[in-house]
Amino acid sequence: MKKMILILIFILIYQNLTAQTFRTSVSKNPVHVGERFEISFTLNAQGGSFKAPSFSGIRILSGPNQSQQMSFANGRSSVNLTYSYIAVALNEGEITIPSASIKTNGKTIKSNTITIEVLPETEAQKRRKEQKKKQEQSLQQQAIDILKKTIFVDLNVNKSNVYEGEQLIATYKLYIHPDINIVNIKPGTMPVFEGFWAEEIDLGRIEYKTEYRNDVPFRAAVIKKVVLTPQKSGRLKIDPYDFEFTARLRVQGGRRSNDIFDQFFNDPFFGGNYRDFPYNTSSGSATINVKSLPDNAPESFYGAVGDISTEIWFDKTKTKTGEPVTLKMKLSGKGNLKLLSTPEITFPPSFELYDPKVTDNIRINSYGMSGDVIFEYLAIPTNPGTYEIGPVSFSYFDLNDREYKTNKSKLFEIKVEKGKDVSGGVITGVEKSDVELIGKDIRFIKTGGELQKNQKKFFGTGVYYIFNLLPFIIFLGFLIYRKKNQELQSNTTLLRNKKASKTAKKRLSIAEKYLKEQNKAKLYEELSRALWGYTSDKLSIPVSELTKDKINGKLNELNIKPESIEKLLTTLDHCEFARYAPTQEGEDMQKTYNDSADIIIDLEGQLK
Amino acid sequence: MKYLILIISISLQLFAGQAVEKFNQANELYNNGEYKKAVNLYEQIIDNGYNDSKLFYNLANSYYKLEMIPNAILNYEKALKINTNDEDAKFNLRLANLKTIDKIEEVPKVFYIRWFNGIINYLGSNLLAWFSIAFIWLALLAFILFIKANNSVLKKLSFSTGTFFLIIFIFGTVLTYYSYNEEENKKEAIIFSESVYIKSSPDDEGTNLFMLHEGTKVQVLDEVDNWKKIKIKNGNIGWIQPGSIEII
Repeated sequence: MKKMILILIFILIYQNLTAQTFRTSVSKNPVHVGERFEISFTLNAQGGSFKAPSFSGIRILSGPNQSQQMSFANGRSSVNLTYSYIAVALNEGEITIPSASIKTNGKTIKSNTITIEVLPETEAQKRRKEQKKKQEQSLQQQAIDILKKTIFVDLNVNKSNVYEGEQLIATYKLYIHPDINIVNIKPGTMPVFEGFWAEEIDLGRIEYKTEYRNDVPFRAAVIKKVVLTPQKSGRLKIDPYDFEFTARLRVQGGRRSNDIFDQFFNDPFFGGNYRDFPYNTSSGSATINVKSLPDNAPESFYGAVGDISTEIWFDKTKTKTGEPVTLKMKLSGKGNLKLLSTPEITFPPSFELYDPKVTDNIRINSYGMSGDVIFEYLAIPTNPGTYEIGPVSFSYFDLNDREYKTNKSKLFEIKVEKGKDVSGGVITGVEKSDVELIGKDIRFIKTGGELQKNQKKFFGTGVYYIFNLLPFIIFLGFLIYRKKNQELQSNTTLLRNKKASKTAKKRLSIAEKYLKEQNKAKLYEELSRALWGYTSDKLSIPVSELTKDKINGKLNELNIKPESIEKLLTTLDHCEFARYAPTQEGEDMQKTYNDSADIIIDLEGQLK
Repeated sequence: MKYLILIISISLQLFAGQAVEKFNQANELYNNGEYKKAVNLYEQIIDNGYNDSKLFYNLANSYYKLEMIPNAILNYEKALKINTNDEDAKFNLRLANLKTIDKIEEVPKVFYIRWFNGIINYLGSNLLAWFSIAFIWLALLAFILFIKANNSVLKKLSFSTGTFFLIIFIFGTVLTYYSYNEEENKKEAIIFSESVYIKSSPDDEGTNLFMLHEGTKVQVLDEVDNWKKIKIKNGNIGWIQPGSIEII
């Protein structure tokens, strides 16, 4: 079995070797660096699906080129299929051409490899190369020399001495000789205008016009135009604009060191090749000298420079409270209108002023900025009345006369009538009740009369406290007095009661003396006193208040015997009567004295 | 003794006469439109210890004419503090307030509180004091009558009347105290700075809460390092820097 397989493999290989061969060959070996040679892969049969090897150390100039050869010899036909390459060796040394593969009769076969020896360049080769390089260099140089004379970018400034705020125009212009074929223009970085306010003028489509430079006609086009307004004084630089051009020029193929310029102009239709040359150029910069504006700027100067006319008007001169009026200020002319700060306008305080609305209609063209700006000041009157506003003024710096100029409006008079109440609106300043007060004057001063000294507050003063406390003290005093009085009263009653009989006895003894003297008047007086005094003390009734009725009532209350009372009263009566009676017996005097003594003793007994 | 009293009373009269003379002179100046001079004279009289509401009123009028609105408002308020019911001062104050910038809406108070305050203001603490004193004396009389009376009907009547009078007295004294407190301790002030930020704390670093302008009346609540804590009519509270207000 093993033998069988071996035999089979052998047969296959043999058949392969004898029947189809795929060979690699080179046209030259060894070769010089830079020398051309041919590499061929030849199959002596029909085939397809050629797979080229990856070459290294050589540069393929062309290929694979396929060719087929059929030949009949000795009655047998044979076919040769060749794939060939034209190549150059790059470096000195040895190169191996790897094997390629191809399919034939359903089999893939490989070619053999070949090693090529590469020799150094020959002298002639070297010389040629150098020459070529030189030629190339001079060609480039010539091209640049030509382009220098045929492509320009210019920066042109219409003024170089300006005032701050004065406009100037910078123009970048491109000049191209009509015979130069520009393939591509690539602008470099855009210039930055430091210190300027820049407004680019819209140029639309770039149009070329014929312009003469040193009597040579050029195609010229403005590529950038900018209105510049210097924002500060001093020396300001305008940046250059860079461009990268690609110009297509025709060069003469075989001829050497030719003036291609001549070629170009003299022989436009015949001979030569076109080549593209890069060319960088710049417009160059410019310096502007900016003067600052004079110091004596009026108050109404808001930075306007140029030639400006002013129109100031009110939309109406009669309004109602809450209904707005608009003051419009229209500035028109040539100048830096876009760069103005909003002019301030003073309204009376009873006007509510809103931020002004600014509308501009400004054209920017080759003459600079011009047009008009309208400032609208909306003000809402809150109080009725007639108000004067203005005159409103606006100042600008005139460039022709080099001085400040002021435009002044007339004096405006606005009549404000009372409008409808604005409820919940913005106007809340004045209360409804106060509206009718507006315009009224204050009331007159007060004259005449006395002047008050510093009036002290009564509350908290000593007098205040005294007046407050006094009633309490009085009340307290009253209570104390009353209590004491009551006590005293009850004390004296007791005392008098005790003293009563004693006093009576004293009186009686005095009366006895008068009885002996027979002094009738004195006797009865003393007896009367003794009786009155006794009852008064006993009953605790002051003598002044004592009457016979009272005695009667009081004694009755005290359950004194009616006879005793009767006796007391008659005796009292008798004493009074007898005092003034002209004649009286002596016994009667004795009897009255005895009666009185009896009564006192009797009452003393009963009142105990 | 009698002579001494006579001499004092005459000299007082002379003094008073001088003030009245000055007052008339100032009024004359006002009439002639010499407001500045009038202001000087009125202020002299006030410095001499007079505080008649007429003086403040006339002074305020002079300031008004001089367009010194905060001063005018201050003096109208002073005049009204002395004489709460001065209609002229009220009217002129309203006119002066129209010329101020701040229009602060007052937080409305409940009507009975307004009425109560109105009555208290109208009467003033002095009148209320006399009123309550009268009632304590009436109560005294009633209670004495109660003790003295023999009749039981009279006793009952006098006791209840006395109690009633005593209650009125207590109530009156409380009102007097309240009114006195309002008059003496309620500090109000007028803003004199043209415009001033009201801060959240009593120093310059405080946050600006709101802004007030000259002529606005504020209530002073507290004081720290001359910074005053103020409250405006709509209830907002903040601190105002020293020297920008004048106490009424």
